[in-house]
Amino acid sequence: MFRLLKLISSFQNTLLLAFLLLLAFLMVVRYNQQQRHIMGDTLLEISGRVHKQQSKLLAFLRLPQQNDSLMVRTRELEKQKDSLFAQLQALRNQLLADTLDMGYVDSLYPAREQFDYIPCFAIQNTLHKSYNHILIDKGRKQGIRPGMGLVSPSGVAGRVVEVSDNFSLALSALNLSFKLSVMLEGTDYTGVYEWAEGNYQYGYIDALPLDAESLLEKSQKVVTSGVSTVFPRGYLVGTIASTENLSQDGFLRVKIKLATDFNRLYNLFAIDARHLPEIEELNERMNSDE
Amino acid sequence: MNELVKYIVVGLLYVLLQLFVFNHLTAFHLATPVVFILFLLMLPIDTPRPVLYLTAFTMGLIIDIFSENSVAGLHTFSSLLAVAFRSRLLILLGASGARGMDEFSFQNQGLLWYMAYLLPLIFIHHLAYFLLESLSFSQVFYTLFKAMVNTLYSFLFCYLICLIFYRK
Repeated sequence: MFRLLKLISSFQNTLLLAFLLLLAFLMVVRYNQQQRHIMGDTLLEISGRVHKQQSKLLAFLRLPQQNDSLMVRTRELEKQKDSLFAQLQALRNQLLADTLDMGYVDSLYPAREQFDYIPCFAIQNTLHKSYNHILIDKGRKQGIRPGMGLVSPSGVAGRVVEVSDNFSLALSALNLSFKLSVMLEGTDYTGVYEWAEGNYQYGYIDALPLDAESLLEKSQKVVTSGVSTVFPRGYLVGTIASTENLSQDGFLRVKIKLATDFNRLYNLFAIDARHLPEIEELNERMNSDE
Repeated sequence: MNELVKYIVVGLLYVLLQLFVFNHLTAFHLATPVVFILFLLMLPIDTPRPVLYLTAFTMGLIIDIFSENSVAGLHTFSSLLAVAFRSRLLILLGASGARGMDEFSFQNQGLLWYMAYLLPLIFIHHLAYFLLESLSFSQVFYTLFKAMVNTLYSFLFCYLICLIFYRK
């Protein structure tokens, strides 16, 4: 027994090394890339605060570009608003004409909005890893919940996975485990968006049916299909960069250019799908019936 | 005691520099310099091995947690591995062992010596890091390429720091 102990003590350095290596390896495997659960609330809060200060400085330097893109977006929304107003006015006039003798009409309110947009800022964002994340400066207190979609003014950006009181962490669309149901704009063909490591400007759509090939053309828009219920239908993901089929397994796989410029990601909106709890409840009821 | 305080302060400085400066010096969205490992590699040659391992573990863990999105354990594992090979390599380079202990110092070594000492260890760090990050061998050549580019990039900064601060 004594000799055994002595033997062990002569290997103690190596044993310590092996133990620490094992510990580190278990950490990697256990808390894998998809969600950094080890960070937990407290650590996310701390590192969030640190990165927030840092990003304030960077944001200041980026102001001119941000301003430009916001101007473009504002103009677009303004146009949209005008056309919607015109439509509404036309409808109202028509209705008034139809029911002339009823006088005042006030039943013409739009249907209840299903999606709410919570404005937030990306305070930390990487591009060059295999599993990229975005750190956001809003958290549970501001209404962010895990599972919410994240969009930039120009397109889809990611999905929230972890939330602390004042900060949250999202899978970037540049993350190997980020998948999204998308469709070709103006058609019924749906596919799955995914990212392949390397370039932060390009992604892929996979699993498009083969008969969509004839419809493919360069710079055609690819939008969210709305199937996931996380993103509203028709939100821009990117445009087709090349029509070449990269897959051999009976589906189409094409390269797309992402609409969001991840290199200059700052203004974001978290999408609060208000009808989601209702759908989840339905699903749950269905599952419990089975 | 004084020495200990000095090393703790220097270690903290390395961590802060890594987190707030070097993590943001990414080139071509491919290479990020890892410099904190230089602190571990430049610790005095007679540092007891358990101290070395525990320092590497703690430092790696801190970097992992506060890097914007490194996975917990990645830097911890790879810096431990690099440090584990440190004493072997030092013996191989004739710096430690029966004879060299007393007269050897990390200061004022030439570029060639730094290359022979730092490059392999930094490469071990990066290789372990990227292999663990992808957790697969499916893209092994891309991983190797990434490790090599990162090694050269990190070495550049490490050598600069050696030139400026490890000089008498």
